[in-house]
Amino acid sequence: MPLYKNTPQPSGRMGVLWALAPIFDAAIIEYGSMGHMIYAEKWLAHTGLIKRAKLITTHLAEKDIALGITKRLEESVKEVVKEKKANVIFLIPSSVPEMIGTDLESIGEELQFMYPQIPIITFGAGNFKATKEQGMEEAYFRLVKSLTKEDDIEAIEDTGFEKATFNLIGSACDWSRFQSDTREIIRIMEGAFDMKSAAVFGSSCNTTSLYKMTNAKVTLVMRKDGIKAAKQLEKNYGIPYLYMTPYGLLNTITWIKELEEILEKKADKDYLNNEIKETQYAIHHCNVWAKHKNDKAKLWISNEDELSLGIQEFAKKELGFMLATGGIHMSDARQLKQNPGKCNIEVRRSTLSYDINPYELPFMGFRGTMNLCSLFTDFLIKR
Amino acid sequence: MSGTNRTYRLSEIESNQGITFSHAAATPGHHCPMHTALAAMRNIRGISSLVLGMPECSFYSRYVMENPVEGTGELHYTYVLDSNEVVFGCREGLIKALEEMERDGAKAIMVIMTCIPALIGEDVKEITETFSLEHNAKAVCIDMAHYKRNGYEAGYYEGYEALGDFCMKKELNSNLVSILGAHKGREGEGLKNWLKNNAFELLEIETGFMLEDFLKITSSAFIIVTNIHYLPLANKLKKEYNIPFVFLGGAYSVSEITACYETIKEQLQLQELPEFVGINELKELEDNIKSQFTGSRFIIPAIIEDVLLLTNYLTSLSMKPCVLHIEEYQLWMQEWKKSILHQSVDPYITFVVQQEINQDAFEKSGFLEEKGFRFSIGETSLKEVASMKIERFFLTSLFGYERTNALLHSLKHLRKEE
Repeated sequence: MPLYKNTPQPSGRMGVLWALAPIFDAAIIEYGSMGHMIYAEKWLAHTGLIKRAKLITTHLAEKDIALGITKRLEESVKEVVKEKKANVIFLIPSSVPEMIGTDLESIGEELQFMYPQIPIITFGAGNFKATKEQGMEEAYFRLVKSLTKEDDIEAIEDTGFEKATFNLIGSACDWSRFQSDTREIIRIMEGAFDMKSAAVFGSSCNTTSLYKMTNAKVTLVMRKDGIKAAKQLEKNYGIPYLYMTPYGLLNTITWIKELEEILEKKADKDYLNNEIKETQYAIHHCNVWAKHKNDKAKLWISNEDELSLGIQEFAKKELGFMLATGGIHMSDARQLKQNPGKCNIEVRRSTLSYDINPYELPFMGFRGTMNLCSLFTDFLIKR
Repeated sequence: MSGTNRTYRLSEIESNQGITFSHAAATPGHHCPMHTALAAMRNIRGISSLVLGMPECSFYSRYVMENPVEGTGELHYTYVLDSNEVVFGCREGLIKALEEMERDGAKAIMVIMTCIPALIGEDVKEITETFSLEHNAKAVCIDMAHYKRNGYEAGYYEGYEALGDFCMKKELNSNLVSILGAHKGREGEGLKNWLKNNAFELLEIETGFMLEDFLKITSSAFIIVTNIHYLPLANKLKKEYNIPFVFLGGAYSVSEITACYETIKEQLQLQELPEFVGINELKELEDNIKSQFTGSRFIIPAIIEDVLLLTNYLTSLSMKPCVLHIEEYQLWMQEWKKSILHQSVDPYITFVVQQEINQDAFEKSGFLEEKGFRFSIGETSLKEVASMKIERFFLTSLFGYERTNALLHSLKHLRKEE
């Protein structure tokens, strides 16, 4: 029985929207009832994404449903194109048209034919079973399939690149600190390999950077939702990918070693040593306190995904924490409200989240490790 | 216009479906009535809620219902139709869910139906009726499918109206007067004192009340409605329990307001009217505004819940309405529409979905012509037009002479600013 006493899981349709919204020069058009988009706007406004896609809804009426009229959608696209409101248009599915079987794909193709000057991409995962993760996977995959046309590549290649680049299919706005984590990965890639980011999926980016994806040397995948898109890039353009999420020092070092092999290039030794030294300092302190207050050094983190498994492994192996409830609890604010620990850390986003600072400290990479150590130590030393 | 249809005049509007959008692309649009229905229910102690729909409705509705269990025991759950139920219906699952809510302690449950259950034709009203017959807990359903309207006001109208379904016939208490809607300010106090001094008990129902208290309403001798959101409920109570009411919140002009007080006086067999300070000055102000604003034109791009009543009043003061945003048009608003048209004006009606009214409506209505005084209730990007900045709720905490006084002073101020 699908009765939810707490917040239900987001749908595939929501996953698509959340994954696309960070592309700030895009217009996302939803053909469906209007109430969804204003809530989505609220969700996104609280993510700390200062620049984000323009969210548009057509709304629909009983007559549109009964007669299968899609004029509202066509007019909306026309308005966006005419007023040059975006560089790319995304048509996303919504529940009512999915129910009545509106062929969004075909409408998208027709509209693309009418407006060749702007890419119009139609997304799936609108059915009544698709999960948020499937929605995000669909969004990334469709972007890779649609924004890597030959003519686009030529246009970009003319501008040239000084540094080698990488793609990042990173954490998305359902995780706290997703922008900080993205920034940390980019910082490490610059410091260790002197590489710049090309396409960044899931966090703030624009279509220009997405068009650069085929020039990249590697695709970094932080979540399994990104694997399909990365495989597509590998298959069509020979760009290798690495699916690994660097939480904790050991994991971050392993991640860099893996990258050294893929890129056939050694990471900058001085940079790496310095980062390791700084991170070890924080780990050392946290470790000492975890031993001293071993009754308090307990960690519980919700779900079983990259974020959960990565932080658990780090806390257990590198800090000596026990994986149990009653100490530090990490989850979304709703779950933490219902299942509080002695110390609560929000690592996932919910409707209670209100993030306005995209520059908060990360959880991934060297600085993410230091941040986690700092948060844990604060709790451990508290009387 | 850039929308899907041409903009219609008020005379052509027969339902929400006739109100076209100002622009094709709504960015990001308006809330759905499920949102406002929840907002209304959140403030009623004793009412549990169940949102019935898709993950979007359920997930995001938690912005309104922050806690699944309130301190006073109300439950706020959601029911997400699975893929089978989307095809074969959710009757069985919904009854089980309501039973589980009853086991968890819910006594009165408002089931808020959204687009998909409405679209598949699930008879949720029948389900809640059947459930209520067989259980101690009572469930009531409201159909908040957004595709049946544009805006969100139905959440209030139908949400409050559905409270009537929890009521039972009670013995008449000829001393009980119920007030539906906000009744703050000096006039609110004056009204209450007038009734109390005449030995009447008051049942005050406004945002934040207890269901237990509300259920006493069926023993009322008379109901005073100060806010349009409660008007459908008052009509229902009149129809089902024969309780007379007066819509004081619908009166803007001094004469209309006085007539409402006369009705209260007659219905409750009172000796005299209350003494409100400054009625004569208000009459004078009304006359002054009428002479100052004769020939002026106005637009209302903002969400004003009683926009037709307000327009009717301003029109009676010789101002010409050009374009109005109407969030919700219901059949029972017809008399106000007729009254406006009777004054030989026929404004364009639109549903503003971007920052501004669309060019088409502006041009057709003649509002852009730079002759005479023009003003806007709600913000407009037209710099040469005087605009009255308003909050989400426009003067709704006030009613009667006090509200009209505030409105007319705002207009006076607007003219001065010019």
